[in-house]
Amino acid sequence: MHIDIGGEGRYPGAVNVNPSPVTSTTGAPGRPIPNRVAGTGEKLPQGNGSADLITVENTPIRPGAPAEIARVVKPGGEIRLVHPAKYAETAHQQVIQALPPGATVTRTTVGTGDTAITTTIIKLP
Amino acid sequence: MGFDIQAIEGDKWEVVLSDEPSYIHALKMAPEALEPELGSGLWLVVAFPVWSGPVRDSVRAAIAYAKQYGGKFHLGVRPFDYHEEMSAWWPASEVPAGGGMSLTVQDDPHRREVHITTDTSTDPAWLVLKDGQVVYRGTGARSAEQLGEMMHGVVQ
Repeated sequence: MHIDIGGEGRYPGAVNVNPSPVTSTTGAPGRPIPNRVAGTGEKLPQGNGSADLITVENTPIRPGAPAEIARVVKPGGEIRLVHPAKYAETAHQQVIQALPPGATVTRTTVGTGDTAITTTIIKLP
Repeated sequence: MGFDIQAIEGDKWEVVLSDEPSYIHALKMAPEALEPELGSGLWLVVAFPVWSGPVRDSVRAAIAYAKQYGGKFHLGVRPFDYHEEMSAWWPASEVPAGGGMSLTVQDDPHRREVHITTDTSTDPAWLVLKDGQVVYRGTGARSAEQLGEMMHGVVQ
């Protein structure tokens, strides 16, 4: 299972965990979000170790979300985080720290200044 | 030239402007009230969430638009994390708290949990002030052309 926290349908087949029933930034605003489950990153409705992949892109990582991500991702699963670079410096680290030791972390930043976007891919052992 | 954010104490952020003209201002995150200096002259204020990349296109458009007018109005760039922060400084009764609201009720034998959450479809938030009076307020992405329509008749 792929869980996209704050997702609006950018990934076909993903479960989009979103408090809003409609799109805001993906495609035309105001359209129903496909395959949506009401919820937020701080309180994921999925069970322990149920996700092969969790994505969080341009959605806030609130206190409590790192622990929830750590709870829901499977052993051997993957977490993909995409945010503005400065925000990513702290928020992505909070997610990494919530995970069990041994994860492989790959961080890539594209752009500079206000256009810099960091993608962090975390693969669990 | 340009802008970015940097973490300051706690979970606060500030905007850092690089070599931008003096009529472009970095406004404080989550002030207790609208700053007194915004009560004088013509101001365009854009408030954006620190965690979104795409919404920064609108901030860049606002900076480019302000430069077209070369100081005929002030541009204020304010970061936020939670929409609720705006209730302290937004000079209108309806604070842009998000484009929608969702109610989730979970029942179990011993308790009922009710979650009310808002979405983030209305970023960034825009405000035009002339001598402290609200001339325009709105939300959502804007291109330079749309900013021109927004400011039409206000900026000379």
